[in-house]
Amino acid sequence: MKYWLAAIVLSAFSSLAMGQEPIKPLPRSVVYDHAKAALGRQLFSDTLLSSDKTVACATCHSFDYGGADPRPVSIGVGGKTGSVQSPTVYNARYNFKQFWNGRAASLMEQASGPIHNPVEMGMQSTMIAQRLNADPDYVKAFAAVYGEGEITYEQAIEAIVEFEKALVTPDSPFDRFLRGETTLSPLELEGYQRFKAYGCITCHNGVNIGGNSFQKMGLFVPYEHDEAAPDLHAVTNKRRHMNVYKVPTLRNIALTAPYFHDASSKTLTDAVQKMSYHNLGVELSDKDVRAIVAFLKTLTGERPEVLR
Amino acid sequence: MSARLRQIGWKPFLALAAGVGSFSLLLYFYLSQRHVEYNFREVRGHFHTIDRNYHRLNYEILRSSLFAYSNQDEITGDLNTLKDEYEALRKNAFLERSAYRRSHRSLVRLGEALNRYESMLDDFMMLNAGIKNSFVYITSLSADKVKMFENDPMTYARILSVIAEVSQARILFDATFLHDLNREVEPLGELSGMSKAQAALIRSFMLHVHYIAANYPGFVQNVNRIETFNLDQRIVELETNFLDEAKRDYEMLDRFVVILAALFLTALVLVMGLLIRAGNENRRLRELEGELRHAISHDQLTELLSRSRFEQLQEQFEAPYLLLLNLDRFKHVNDFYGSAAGNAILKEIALLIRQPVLEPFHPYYFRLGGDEFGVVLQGIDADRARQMGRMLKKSIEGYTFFVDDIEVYLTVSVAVNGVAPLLENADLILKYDKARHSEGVLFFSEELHLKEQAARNIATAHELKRALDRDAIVPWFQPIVQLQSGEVAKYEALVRMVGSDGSVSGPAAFLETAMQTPYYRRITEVMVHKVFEAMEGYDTRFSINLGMRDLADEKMVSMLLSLLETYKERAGRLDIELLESEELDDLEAVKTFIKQVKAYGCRIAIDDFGIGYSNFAYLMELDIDILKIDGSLITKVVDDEMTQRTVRTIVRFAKQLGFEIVAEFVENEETIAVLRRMGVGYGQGYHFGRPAAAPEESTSISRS
Repeated sequence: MKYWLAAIVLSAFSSLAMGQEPIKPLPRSVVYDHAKAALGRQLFSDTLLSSDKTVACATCHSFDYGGADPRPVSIGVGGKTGSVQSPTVYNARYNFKQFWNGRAASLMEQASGPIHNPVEMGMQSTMIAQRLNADPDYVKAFAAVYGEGEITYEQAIEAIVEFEKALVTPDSPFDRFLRGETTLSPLELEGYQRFKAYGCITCHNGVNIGGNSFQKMGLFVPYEHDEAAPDLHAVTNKRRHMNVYKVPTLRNIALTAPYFHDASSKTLTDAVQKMSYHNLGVELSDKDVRAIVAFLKTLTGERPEVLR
Repeated sequence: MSARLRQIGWKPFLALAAGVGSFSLLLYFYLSQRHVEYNFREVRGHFHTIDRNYHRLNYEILRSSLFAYSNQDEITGDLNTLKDEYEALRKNAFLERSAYRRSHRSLVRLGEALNRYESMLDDFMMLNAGIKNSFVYITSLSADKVKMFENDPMTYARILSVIAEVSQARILFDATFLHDLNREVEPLGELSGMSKAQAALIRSFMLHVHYIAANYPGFVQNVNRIETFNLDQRIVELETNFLDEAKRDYEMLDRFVVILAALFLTALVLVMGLLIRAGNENRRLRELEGELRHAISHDQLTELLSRSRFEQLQEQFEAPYLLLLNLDRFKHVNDFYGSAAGNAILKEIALLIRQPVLEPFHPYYFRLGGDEFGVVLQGIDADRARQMGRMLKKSIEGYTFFVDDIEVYLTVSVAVNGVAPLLENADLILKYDKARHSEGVLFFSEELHLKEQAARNIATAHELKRALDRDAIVPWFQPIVQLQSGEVAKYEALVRMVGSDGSVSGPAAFLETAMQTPYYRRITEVMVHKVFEAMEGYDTRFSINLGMRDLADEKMVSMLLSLLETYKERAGRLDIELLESEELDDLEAVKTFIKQVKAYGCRIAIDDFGIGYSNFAYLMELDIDILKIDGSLITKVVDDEMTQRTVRTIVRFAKQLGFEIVAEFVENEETIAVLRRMGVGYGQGYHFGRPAAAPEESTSISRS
């Protein structure tokens, strides 16, 4: 009990004293192994990693579309379609778990997922190692990073993960606003206030403005549940986890349409309205929606250093 | 000694092994301790992090539930850290060991609790979002938007009442205030007659009220469950178990230290024991060495200084005089009374020579040989030294030694020498002294020319060798005449050495020297052979001189016997003259010899009778035929009454035993007359003929 008491007193004072914003700016630069990341960048865009050599990681995580897939559903090897919209690969290192339902605890775990997924890349670890070892350019490139010897699947995944760690988009207007480097327009500022007042902020907070908790789609007004949807229920098999997904990041949200796991919103305005209706229990006025969208647009950051 | 070394041989190795063993164990202990220490710290570090993160997490959860909005990164971050730390513990090989079975079980339980906790957190986060939003929404209504119902007081009051109820429940964190909420808002659902904005507000309002009514009790329950969750307890349980088991680990290390200390002490005691033992051995060795040194420098029997000590000391002596004492005929004392008695006598002599009067001269007392004692005096003059020598001689010779109540008297020869080399010169004098049978104390002086004598001896020995090589040792013959008839009865063969210059020398010139050399035997051999050759063509008897040593020489005897066998006729004409003056060592051997030669018709004569240690007794035991009276008696027999009486006694004695009598050195007619009257049968001397190279030459002069 005394912890709680102390916590209450502490939190009351600290929040008053500091007036902390629940959103944190992205760091301007991140630490990663540049040599491995360069190798990872090459692998990320290489169709060699898929069984029929038609798909690369970048196929579904396009750098031009905010690290996500502009298609409603990604298309994998042999033209197979998945059942979920690809989330962005940008700033993925700040997500508390990976995938829509958080079934991977780390990027390392995540990276192996699509590669082995039969509808995504459909590959075997040994096959990847074989293909890489058969490629003189890769043999040379890996030797420069890992030293002479057989290229292993683990090395390839590590390089990709190192690249993904570098995919951070700093210096969005909002980040710079948070750091006091710039001001927001009155509409944008009002949008941010609405964002907080209506309660969006309860789920979309932290450095990644989301990505740090699970939430039910349709908290107030039930949302139609698709049995095939890869929700948390698919992982835990608990009824209360039906339609529960990882809260997605809102960074670069202006670039990553369509929205939601089922790609059901094509525009940001629609997505904001749908979200506020189902998950906040409010019907926003057009003015509020406009303001919130204006705010969301300030979340578009700079292209990651590693891609420049 | 070597056995003892073998006995202690393995112990240093044991000590070494114990040392190496305890050192290795110490090293092992150090490493184990470090290992345990390191892991202990690491595990406790994980505990600490888990504990801290857990409490931070609880704080963040509370914060998140209280504040309208908060950064949930903290929550997910702390939770991830918590899980990472737990994984680190799970993978810690230290806790996998059987000694930490209970900790391991606690760890598994903690993991299960952690999963439940995470699940509660997920639920909390989901519920919290909606609950917070609803509360914020409902409480914000009271501010302005509700005013649009001012014209509908019923609805207005109902909304405000619900707002108040909800606020109270929120403030008191008590869901029981909400039990009637759904029923209270039910009338609001009839939206007839409302504007579009009013209807929208009511819709949202009811949505949130329903949400709160449905979820707030669960949320409160969830928060209470999180608050009362026993993760804390699990952490404490794990830590307690771990500390408990680590304590046992440490106790084992403690026991290990005790064993180690015991081992070390044992090794230490062993080493100390060995050191003490080695010390004792060393002391014993030193004692033994001292004894040995004493044994070398001292004579064991008499406790006097030894000969080797004398060699060492002689360079340190200042103006020394050595008094060298040699017991006369001590060998006979030993043979006669036994060596035990001899040793007792030597011990007494060692005491006797320590005379107080010698003290002023810083004396050293030595036993230099079996029966040889030495006294070194310093700072003394020659006369005093000689006087001391005489004193010592007198005190030994005047002392009565007792061997089993039998009185024994000893004589001693003393040499006094102050000329280096001390001992060698003193020895020379003693030999000289004894050779001359002189009495008393002999004083060494250069005038004795002992060295020249030695050189002369060597020269003589060389001369002898050359003479033998040149066949220059020859017999000369002197006639022995029957006094009644004046006829030559026989010839005595006498040894002569012919020099390279033609000079002829008699036995006095070389025989004494020859006796010290192997040439003596060859001389005798040559003489015997040549006498046998010379006897051919004569019918008279011949006589030859043999010493006692010749009789003791088996080769000589057998050579003689084979000659006698070969020349039987000549053997019957041979007389053998034995020198009576020489000592008779082996009476039986002499008897046997006499018996053997008499078988060939030889006769036995005793030469030079009447001087020296003449012993009538053994003459009776030996089968003697002839007695030759010594020349020194015969030359005085005419003038000296005493000599006449002596000779007469000898003659009477010889006649009684049936000996033939020969007188030597007969040089004139008066002597012949006296001897005839006494009844002496034969004579020999210049009057009858001088010795010559051939028998007939020797007799040509005389025959008067």
